[in-house]
Amino acid sequence: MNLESPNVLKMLASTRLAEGLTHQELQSLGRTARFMEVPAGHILFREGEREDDVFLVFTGHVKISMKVPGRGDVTILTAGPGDLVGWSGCISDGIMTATATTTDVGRLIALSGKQLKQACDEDPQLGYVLMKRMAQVISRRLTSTRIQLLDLFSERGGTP
Amino acid sequence: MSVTSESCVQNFDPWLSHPVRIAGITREIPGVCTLNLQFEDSRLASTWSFRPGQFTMLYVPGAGEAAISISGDPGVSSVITQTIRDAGNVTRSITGLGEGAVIGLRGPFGSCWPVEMCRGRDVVLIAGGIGLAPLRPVILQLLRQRDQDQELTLIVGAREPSLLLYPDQYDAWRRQGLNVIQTVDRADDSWTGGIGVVTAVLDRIGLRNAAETVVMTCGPEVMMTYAIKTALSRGIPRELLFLSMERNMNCAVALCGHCQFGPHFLCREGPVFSYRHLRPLMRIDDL
Repeated sequence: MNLESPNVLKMLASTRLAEGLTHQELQSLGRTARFMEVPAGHILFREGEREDDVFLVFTGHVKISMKVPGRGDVTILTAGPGDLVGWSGCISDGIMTATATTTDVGRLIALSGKQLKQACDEDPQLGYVLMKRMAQVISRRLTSTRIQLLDLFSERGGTP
Repeated sequence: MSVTSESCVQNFDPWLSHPVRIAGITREIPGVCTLNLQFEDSRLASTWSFRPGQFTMLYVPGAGEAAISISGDPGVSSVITQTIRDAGNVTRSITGLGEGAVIGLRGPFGSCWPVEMCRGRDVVLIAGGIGLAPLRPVILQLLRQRDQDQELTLIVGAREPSLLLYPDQYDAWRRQGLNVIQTVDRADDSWTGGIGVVTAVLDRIGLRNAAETVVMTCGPEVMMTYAIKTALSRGIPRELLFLSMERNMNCAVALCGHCQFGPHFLCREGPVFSYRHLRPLMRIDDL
């Protein structure tokens, strides 16, 4: 894992998570962040284990999988650049509900969930904006899951 | 009122069904095959043409007619390529035929994708399942007319990897400058592409200039609805969003009403529509 940081603040500023933040708010967010470059196959977090970090993907892809008895690890989603993974670290008890593994070389920003919660508690305005952004991320993920559940490509008929 | 950006009016007898011979069959995925058709009348072979997005009516004596999208290269006139899913009696009859069989063809009919509008603009094509078939002529034409600076992206989705349409052509398209992104609803560990819906991919791909990016989408209606919603949220103007609608087209000349969609007849004013014109109708349940 390479922790040598490019300009993390600049990277953060380019994300949707930081959209609309003031310079001071961005600085607060930046204090919780560290840059990571990881190889393919790197496990960011495991299902059932506690993880503090929330990850913002910059380059590369991360597969999110769940363990299913008799089937092993089943990948349910591939996250890519711009996606946020591992939000349990920030918005719930930090026990991960899935496993996240990089599928290629990944450049990410890890945000410490503990520090992020603390920054949000100290600055409710920052907390409101960040939680709103996270709610949007979760809402988009929920919509995607619903579309996936519809199994649209199995539809037949329409043509004689 | 024109509901697409490009006029596709052609002069021919729309009722006349011309004999075409099945010169080749490619079994694509279960229940889907691509036919290469050749006119029995060689004069027609040299004059017949179509534009990306259009369809023909294929006729099997004793079975009936079905509207089928043209999936071939608009630059090639000697062969008409059509990809068919066996979803009913007629299409099942067609896909059950062998090479050398002769069927009837009327057309081409319908509106076309705004290929000319793409000059100087980046383009994102979003296809789901067999929806890639009517977009394939666009891909082939765009790759031929592509500027070096133009970014072309295809997001193609399917239920599972084995159900992706034309997978053996993706590498050739990539070499010609098309960024092909594959995503499926489910897959095992051997799959190296993405898992998830096409809209999630659209939500994260880099767009250099959203205000000047053309989006064309074809697939299940729910997929297209969310693709358009995502495109709008990325800042792509509604004037640059296009979709291909599917309904039961029977006569292909806007007489029978089977394909009526609000005030439009899909066989004449569609199947390709500008979202700007279709937007009010997409909010009506069961239309």
